[in-house]
Amino acid sequence: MSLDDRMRRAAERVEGATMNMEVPENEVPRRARVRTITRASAGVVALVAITLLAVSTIGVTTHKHADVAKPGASAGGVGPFIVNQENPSDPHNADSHWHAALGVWNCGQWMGDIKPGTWKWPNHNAQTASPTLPDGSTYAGMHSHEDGIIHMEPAYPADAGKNATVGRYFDSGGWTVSTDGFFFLNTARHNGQPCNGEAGQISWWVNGQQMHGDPASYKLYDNDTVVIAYLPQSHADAYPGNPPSVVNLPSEAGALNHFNITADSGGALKFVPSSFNATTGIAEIDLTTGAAGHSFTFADPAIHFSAVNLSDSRTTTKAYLFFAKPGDYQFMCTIPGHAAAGETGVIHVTGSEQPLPHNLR
Amino acid sequence: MHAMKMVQPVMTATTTAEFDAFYGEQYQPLMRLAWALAGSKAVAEDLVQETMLRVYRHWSKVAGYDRPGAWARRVLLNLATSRGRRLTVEARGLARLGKPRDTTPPPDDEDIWTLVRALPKREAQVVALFYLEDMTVDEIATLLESPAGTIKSLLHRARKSLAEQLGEVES
Repeated sequence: MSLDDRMRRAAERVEGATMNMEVPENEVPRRARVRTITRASAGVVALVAITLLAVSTIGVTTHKHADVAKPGASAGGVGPFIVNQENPSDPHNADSHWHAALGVWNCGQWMGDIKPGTWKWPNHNAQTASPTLPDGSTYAGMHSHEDGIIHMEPAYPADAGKNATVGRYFDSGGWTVSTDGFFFLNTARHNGQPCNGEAGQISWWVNGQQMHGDPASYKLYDNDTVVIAYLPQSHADAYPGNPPSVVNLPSEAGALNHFNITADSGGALKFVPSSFNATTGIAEIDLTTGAAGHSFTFADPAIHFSAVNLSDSRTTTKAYLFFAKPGDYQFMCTIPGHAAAGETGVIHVTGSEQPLPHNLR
Repeated sequence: MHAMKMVQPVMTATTTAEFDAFYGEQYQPLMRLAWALAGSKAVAEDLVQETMLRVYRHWSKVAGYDRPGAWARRVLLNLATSRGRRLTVEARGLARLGKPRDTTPPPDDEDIWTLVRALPKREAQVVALFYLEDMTVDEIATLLESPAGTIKSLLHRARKSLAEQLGEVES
């Protein structure tokens, strides 16, 4: 038998097996983190990302990295990628905007020039206000927006892929970081300088895991949380905790505004609780159903939030929202009659107006 | 100013229905491609779900293409390359946690798919597209955005090594 025949038989066997396979129900829209974003005229913004609590959470820990240079990181196929504008169908475009939360801890406090943990991007193009390198004109593919987040949106190879390092971010802001110390927001710290009454030293963590080697050469990944800390030597291994900026990270782990709402617990047409408080920024809501046949959306159509279908009983669906402005946000079930019967609620949002995360603009 | 913003429009009921149809139509073909290349049913399922997720996220764009299926295949092949290993590790981790995971390899009396998977990635992809998807060299070239000549030589090399290992004279 010829190779072609054998190959065709092998192909047929796989085809036969898949033809008999049951196609699982299409859960994709429910799992999808659909970032639907709007800038309604009122400036009210809602970001939705919906995902089922999927088994993939395991992957969150397995793909994190223990080495300064992640093995294979230079082998291509590693984001963030420059948007391929010639070919909008390039699948790499899906990884053209990554985020990492950064915190720089200086002997007992988070550094920031806005408030602890957030800082202004020091360099901008005077005409466009676009973040730049210290030269004031070259677009900085790694930058922050007063949110303590390292935005990775490369337009040039220097900011893309394996070049998206902590060091590149510091360079882009006109700062430095190394195993010996850092210069950040007009503050310089060097190993051996006093820190809480003793000699201090640099330690650093990625996703809560203490790292060794040069922080500058750490290649960032989407949703990383990076802490650079100047600590007293006797406490050099004490993780200062997640930085304040994790709340600005558009990921499950990062959302500090976290709420549980149950629809139809015990057969009642209502949300429990039906009223809660949140602060501006990202909120994560776990929507749990008692019985099936509900939905969750906002009453004000100006908030372009696609309704979250809660069609299965006893399941939890995540929704992510971005509250740009304080205010009262009414939510409801869209199944006819349910809202009228009282399946509504309100989120009281307080806090200062927040800039829209860059990837949602 | 860089014009790099990815606009992600609101999903409407209509697009969801269209996507639903795409999902129903493409699930099995994508599954056989993933299964042959990943070698494990569980990993293939993850790859297909991840692919579908990406297609869905870009549906407003993808739906307008002549062949949304081709875009999905490209996503799938890229995912299989970059994530195959991680997904395999995950599958093992889940197995340890006692979660039932179907790690069945694709049905294969002669272990041909094992040989295909051992080929260089690009060759394996070309072989799978050629035999499983019945695609022509030109179609594969378009899909993989490579010159047809490159595809032809990848296919030739792949067939040659397969034939050698199977003890066949390449026809």
